[in-house]
Amino acid sequence: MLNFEDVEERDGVRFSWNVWPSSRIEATRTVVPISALYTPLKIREDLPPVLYEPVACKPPCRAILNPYCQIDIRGKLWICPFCLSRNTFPPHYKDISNTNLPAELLPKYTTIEYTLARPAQVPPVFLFVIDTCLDEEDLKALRDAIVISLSLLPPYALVGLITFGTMTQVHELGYAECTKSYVFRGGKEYQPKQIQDMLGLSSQNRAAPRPGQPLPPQSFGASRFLLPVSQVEFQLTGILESLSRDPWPVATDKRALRCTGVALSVAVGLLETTYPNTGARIMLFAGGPATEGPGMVVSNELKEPIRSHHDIDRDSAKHYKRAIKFYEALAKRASNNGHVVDLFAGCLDQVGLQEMKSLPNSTNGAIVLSDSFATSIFKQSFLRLFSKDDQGHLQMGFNATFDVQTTKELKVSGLIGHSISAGKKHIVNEEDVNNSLIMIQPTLMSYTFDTPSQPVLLDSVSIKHDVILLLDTFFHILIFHGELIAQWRKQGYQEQEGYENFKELLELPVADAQELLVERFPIPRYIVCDQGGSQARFLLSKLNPSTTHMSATMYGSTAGAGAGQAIFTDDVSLQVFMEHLKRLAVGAQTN
Amino acid sequence: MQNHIPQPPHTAGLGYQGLRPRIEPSQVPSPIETIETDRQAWEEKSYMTLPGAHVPLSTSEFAAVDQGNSSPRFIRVTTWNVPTSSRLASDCAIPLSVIVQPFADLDPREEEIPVVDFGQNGPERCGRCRGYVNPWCSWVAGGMRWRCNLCGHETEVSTAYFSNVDANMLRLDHAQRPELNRGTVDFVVSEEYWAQHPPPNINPSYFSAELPLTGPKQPLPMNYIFAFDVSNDAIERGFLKTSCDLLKTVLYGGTSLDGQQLDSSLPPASQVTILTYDRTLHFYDLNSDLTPMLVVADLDEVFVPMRDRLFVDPVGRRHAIEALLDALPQRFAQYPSRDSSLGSALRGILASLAGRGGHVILFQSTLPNTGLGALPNGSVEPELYDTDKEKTLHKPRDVSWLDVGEELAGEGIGVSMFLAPNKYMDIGSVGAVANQTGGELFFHPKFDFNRDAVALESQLQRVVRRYQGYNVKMKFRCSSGLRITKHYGNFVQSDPTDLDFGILDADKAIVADFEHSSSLNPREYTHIQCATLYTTVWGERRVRVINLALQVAEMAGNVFQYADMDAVFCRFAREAMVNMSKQKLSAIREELTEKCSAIMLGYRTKCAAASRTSQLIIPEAFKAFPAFLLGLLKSKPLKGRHVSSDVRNYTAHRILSLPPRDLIHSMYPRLLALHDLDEQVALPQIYTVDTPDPGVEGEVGVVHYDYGQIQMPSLMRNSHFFMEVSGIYLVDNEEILIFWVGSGVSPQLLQDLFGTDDFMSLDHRLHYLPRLQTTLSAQVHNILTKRMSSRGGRKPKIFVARQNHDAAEIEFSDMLVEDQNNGAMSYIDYLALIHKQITNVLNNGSALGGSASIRGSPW
Ligand SMILES: [Zn+2]
Ligand SMILES: [Zn+2]
Repeated sequence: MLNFEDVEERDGVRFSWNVWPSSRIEATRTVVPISALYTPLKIREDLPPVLYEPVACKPPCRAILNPYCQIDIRGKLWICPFCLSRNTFPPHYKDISNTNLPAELLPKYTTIEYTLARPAQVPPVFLFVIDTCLDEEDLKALRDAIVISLSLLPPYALVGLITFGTMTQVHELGYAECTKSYVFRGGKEYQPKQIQDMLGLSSQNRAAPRPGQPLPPQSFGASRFLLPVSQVEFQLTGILESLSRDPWPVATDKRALRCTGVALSVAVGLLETTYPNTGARIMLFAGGPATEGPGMVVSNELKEPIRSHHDIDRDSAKHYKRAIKFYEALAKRASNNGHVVDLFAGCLDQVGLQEMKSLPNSTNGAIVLSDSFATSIFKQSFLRLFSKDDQGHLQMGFNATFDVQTTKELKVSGLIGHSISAGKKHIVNEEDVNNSLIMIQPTLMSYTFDTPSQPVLLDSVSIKHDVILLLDTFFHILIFHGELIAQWRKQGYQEQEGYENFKELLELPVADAQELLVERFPIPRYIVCDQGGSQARFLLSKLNPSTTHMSATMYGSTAGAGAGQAIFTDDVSLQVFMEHLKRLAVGAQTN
Repeated sequence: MQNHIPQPPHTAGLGYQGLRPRIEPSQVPSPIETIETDRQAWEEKSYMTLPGAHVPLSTSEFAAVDQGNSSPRFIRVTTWNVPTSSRLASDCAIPLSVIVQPFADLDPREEEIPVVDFGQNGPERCGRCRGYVNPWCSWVAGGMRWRCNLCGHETEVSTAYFSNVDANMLRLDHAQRPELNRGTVDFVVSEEYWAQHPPPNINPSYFSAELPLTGPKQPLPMNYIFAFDVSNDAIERGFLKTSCDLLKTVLYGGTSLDGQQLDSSLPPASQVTILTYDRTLHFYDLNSDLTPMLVVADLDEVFVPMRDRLFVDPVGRRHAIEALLDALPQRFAQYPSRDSSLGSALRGILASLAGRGGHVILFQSTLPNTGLGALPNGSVEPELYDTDKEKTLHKPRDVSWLDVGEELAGEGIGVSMFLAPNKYMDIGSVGAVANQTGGELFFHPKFDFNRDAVALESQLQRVVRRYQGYNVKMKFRCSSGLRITKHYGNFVQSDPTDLDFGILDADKAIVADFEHSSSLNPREYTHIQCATLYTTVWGERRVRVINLALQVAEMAGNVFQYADMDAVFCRFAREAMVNMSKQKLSAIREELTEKCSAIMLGYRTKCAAASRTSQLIIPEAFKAFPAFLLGLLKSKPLKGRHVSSDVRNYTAHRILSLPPRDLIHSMYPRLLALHDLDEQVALPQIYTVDTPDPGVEGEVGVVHYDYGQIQMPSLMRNSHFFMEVSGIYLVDNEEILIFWVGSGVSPQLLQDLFGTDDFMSLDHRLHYLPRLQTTLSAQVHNILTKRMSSRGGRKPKIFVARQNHDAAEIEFSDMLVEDQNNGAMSYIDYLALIHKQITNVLNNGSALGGSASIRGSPW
C-alpha cells in the first residue's frame, strides 16, 4: 500500500478511508462515509504521450485497461478488476510480454491520458450571457473584462452573445448586414422546440433558395450565432461597447425586470441544438436576482423581500421550489450535452445562487461571487479561467465524460454534501483535494523571529502579540499582525538599519500569500490587518473558540492573559468536534 | 354617326332574351348629356347652400358658398326634399340616405372651414340630444336659452357664451360667430373629448412589458409606421426597392419619378418607425447609429422589443432612416423567405402604436401564410362561383383579421395597404384590416416598375398629404321624426349610433340610412347633423360638425324633382358591396335592377300615371341612372364572369369608401375623342395687357397664360357605336387611362401625340405620354394635369391599346359599359329590360321581383 498522499499527488484522488470496509454492514457502521475526492484534470508533467485508443472492458462496464488489472500474458487475456469479466487483448497487443508492457499497464501510470486519434471536431464554444440591468460603471467593467477575454481565446474558439434584462436578446453575430438580435420576452417560458424554431435552427426553416442561386451556406443554424472569435471579434467588441443599460423604466417601488431564466434557457437551447455533446461553456454574468419569468427568485416588487435561508428552511420561500425545478431541468439538459454553465455574480445582494446552483454544480462550471463587476476579484477570477498551458492551450477541459468506476462491491451513492453555503459546496466539488480541505478547515501559519514559519492550531490560542499569522480560508487570504508587530511596523523599524530581520519577517507571509493568490481560482479576497483592527474579525471568525465561555468546563483551565484571545461564540470548538469523531469511530470499530 | 366601328369580337355579353321593343338609339337618354349640361351650368356661378335650390351633380366642378347649410361637397342626400311620411317615401322607392365626406378637399375658390375654440368649456351642446350649436338653433328667453333644431329641447346658454338678442331674436354677436353662420365648422375641443384608452383585452393579442394605459389619451402628432413585407415576392419584382425609394421622397422630398419637385410630405412633428417582416418580425432601433435589427420570432405572442426608442423624428434621424431604406431590398434579397407573417406584424404594430394611435402604411406582396391568422394557400375559387358558397370568397377566411382590425381601430390606428401580389393573396381577409380601420387599399398586381411606379408614388404621396384625422368617432343626429338606421363604409361600428375609424381622410365618404319615426311638418325644415371627432395630424383634438337643413315635401313630384341620382347610386353600390358576403352575386345584380325599376315605377305611378305603358318614363333627376347602374353591374366586384376574388374584394373595398364623384367616374368611365379636339379647348387663355389695369393681373406688353380658365372638352358616351377607326380615344376610370388608337389613324395624329408616325411601331408598352411641342400634346397633358389635381394628385396607370393589336384593348372594351360586354347586356337592351319589368307590373299587377320570367332571366 502506497502512502495515500503519494497516491493523491500522483492521481489526484484521496479517499476518506484508505482501507475499505469489506462488507456493506461494515460500511454502514463507519461514521466517516466512504467517498473519494478526485481531480480529473490535475496537471501531470510526467505522463507519457499515449497516442492510441484505450482498451476497454466489455459493455456495459467499459472500464479501461489499467495497472490494477490481472493479465495473462500467454493467454492474451485480462481480467477487469471492476466487473471481474475476462477480456481478450485486441490483436495489436499480441506482442506484449512481461518486459514489453504498454504504458497503461505500468504501475506508475495509474493515471494516463490518451490522445485520441479522433480529431476534436468542434472548437470550444463560449456563450456569454450578460445581464444589462447594471449600473453604468458595472456594465462598463463587465464589458471591458469580456472584451479582454476575447483576446485570450484561441482564434478558432467559437463565441456567442446573449444579453438580457426585461427581455432576452440573442445576437446573430454571423449577420453581416447589420447588428441583429433575436428578442425573447422575459415573462414567457419558452419550450426548447420553440426556441429552436424562433432562432431558425430547425431544418425546415431554411430559407428558400432562389432559382439559380446556391443554397445559402450560412443562413441557418449554428454559424449564425456562434462564430470563431477571429472572425467576429471586431463586431462583437462593437456590440459590447455599445451595450447599454436595459432601457425599460424601473419605478421606485420596483426592482429591475431581469429575466435570467429565459436568458439561460435560450442559451441552453441554442447550444443543445447547435453543439450537442461538444465542449461549450455558458458564462452567465448576473448583476442581481431573476425577477421576471421562469426561474424568478423574487418578484420585481420591492415590497417583497428576497427569501432568506430561514424562509427556505421553513419552506415559505415563494418562488423557491419552482425556480429550483426550473434551473435543475436546465442543468440536466446542459450536462447531458456536456455543456458547462459558469456563474459570475457581481452584486452586493443575493443573485439567487441557492436556486441556480444546480447549473454550475451539475455541469462542473465555476461560481464567482463578487460585490460588483468593477472589482478586481471578479476581473482576475474571470480572466484566470482563460489561462493557458505552456503550449498556449486553454487549461480548461471540455465535455469531459467523468465516469466514476468502482469495484464490484461498491457503488457510487451520490455527491458529497457539507452544511456550508451553496457556493462553497460547489467549489468543494470542483477544487483539488488540498484546496477542498482548506475550505473545510482553513490553514493558519504562524511567523515569528528565529523560528521557521509553521502551521499552528486553528485556534484562538494561536493569536499572540508577537507573531504574524497567515490565514488561508480559500476564499480569504489574511495576514494578521500581532499587536506588538503592528506597533513596531507603525513605528517603521523595518526601514531602519539593524532591523533587517524584522523586515524579512514582515515580507515572508506576504510572499507566501502571493504564491497562494496566483494559484487559486476564484481569486481569494486578500486582507492585511492588525490585532484589534476591524478587519481582524475575518481571522477571529475562523478560529476555533477554545477560549469561549464554554471552554472552562471542557479543558479545565482558562487561557492565560496574552496567551490567547477570547472569542465569544456558540459554536463548539473544532477540538470538541474532533474528539467526538474519534470516540464514534473507535466505538464503531469495537462494536 | 358615320364610320362607327363594331364592338371587337373578344368582348362578350348577353343579348336581350326574346323580342325587344324597338328603341331608337338617338332617343336613349344620354348619361353624358346629363353630366355635361350640369357641368356647364356651374362653370360660371356659385352654388348657394340654403335649402331649396337644385344641387350641382357630384361630377360638376362647383364653388359653394356656405350660407349656414353644409355644402354638397361634404354632405349629399338621396333627395333634397325629404318625403313628409314613410308612406310617401316608400311610394317613391328612393332610399333615404345621407352621404358625408367630412374632410373633402375644398375648391380653391371656396372659403376655408372656420375653426372655433371655446377653450375649456367646449362648444355648446344640446342638453338632451347632445347636438352641437349651429346656425339652425333659435334663441329664446332673451338669449338665456337655445332651442335645438334637432330635438326641440331648450338648453341654458352657458355664462361664457351668453349674448343679448335683438328684436328678431338674433344674437347681437351673430355675425362674429362662425358656428352660427356656417354649415361646416371645426370645433377645437378639450380633454373631455380625448379618446379613452380602450380597456385591456381579456385575451390580449400582444404582450407588453408595461402596464396598459388607462383614462383619456393625450392627442399627439400623427405617428407613422412604415411596414414592409420582405419576402421573396416583394423582392423579386422590385416592389420592395421601389416602395423604399418612394418612401424616402415622402419623408424628405425630392424629384418624383415623372420629374416634379416634391417637398417633404409628413406633418412637421410626426414621428416614424420602420418595421419589416417575413417569417419573423424585424424592429429597428433608428436612434442608434448601428440601426440594430431586433427580431421577434414569437409570432403567437407578439411584443415590442423596444421602448421609447421605437419612434424617431424623421428629420433628426434622416441618416439612419435613409441608410436603412437603401439597405433593406438588398439585405433580404440574399436569403429571401417565402413566408409572410402579416397577421403577427399587425399585432406588433398594434403593440407599438397602442396608447398613441397613428397611421400604418404597409407594403405587402404575399399571402400571409404564417403567424397569427395564417391563411392556407390553394384557393378553390372557380368551384365556388355562382354557388351558395360563393359569398365565402368575399369575407375573411379567418375571423382574426376582423378582430385585429377592430382592435386597431379602437386604438386609433389606421392601416393603409399597398398590395402587390404575384398570385392569390386573399384580399378578402387581409383587406378587412383596411376596411375596419378606415385605411385604404392600393392594388398593383404583378408589379411592374415602368407601368405602376408613377401611380404608386402619387398614391403614396396622396396618402400622406391629404387632410386626415385619426382616432375618429362619427355620429349622425337628425330631427325628431327621423332616425338613423344603418351605415355603409369602412369603419368599426361600436354601437348603433357611433362609428369608429382608426383614420379618416379627405377621400372617404360614409353613407347613413335614415327613416321616419313620425311624419314631418312640411312647413319646417328637417335637419341632419354629422359630428366627426378626430385628432389632427399635428395633434389637436377637434370636432367637425356638418349641418344640413332640408325641405320637406308632401308631393312625390318634389321628392323626385330634388332627388340626387349620385347619392342614390352611391347608396345602392354600397349596399351591393356589403351584400357580397351574404348573397350570390347574381342575386345582388337582380336586386339592383329591381331597385332601379322600382324608382322608375314609383315615378310612373305617382307622377306620370297618364303616360302610355309602351313608353319608358325616366324621371329627369335619374336620367343617367340606368347607365350608371349598368356600369355597376359590370364592375369588377359584381360582373358575372370570372374575376379573381382578390380583384373583386379590392374593388369592393374601394366602392365602399368612394365619394359619389369618384364612384361615378369609376363605374361609368370618362371617354374622350382626342383626334377632333377643338383648337381652343384644354389650353390656357392667352392674353396681353395693353394698358395698366388694377383689375387685370400681369405686366403690360407681355403674353400671359391663364391656366385657371382652361376649358375642358366634352365627354362622349361609352360605346364603340360612337367611335371611328381613324380616331384616338382616351378612357379614364380613375385607376387606369387607356389611349385607344384606331387602325385607320392618320400618321400626323400619331406623330403629334406619341412622336411616331407609324401605327405598327407605336410601343404598346408605353406607360407614359411623351411631352411633345405640339398643340395636341399640350392639350392632352393639360387634360391629364387637370384631372390629376381634381383627384388630389393621384395619377392613373397609362396604357396604349392599338385597335386589334394590344392586350389593353380588352380592358378598354370592358370600360365601354354601354356596349354588350362584361357578361351583361348593352345599355339599350338594359333599358328594355327595365321597361319590361315595369310594364309587367303595370299590366299584370304583379310585384317587381315576383315575375318568374324576370327572376329567371340572366339578371
Ligand atoms: Zn469490467
Ligand atoms: Zn337636441
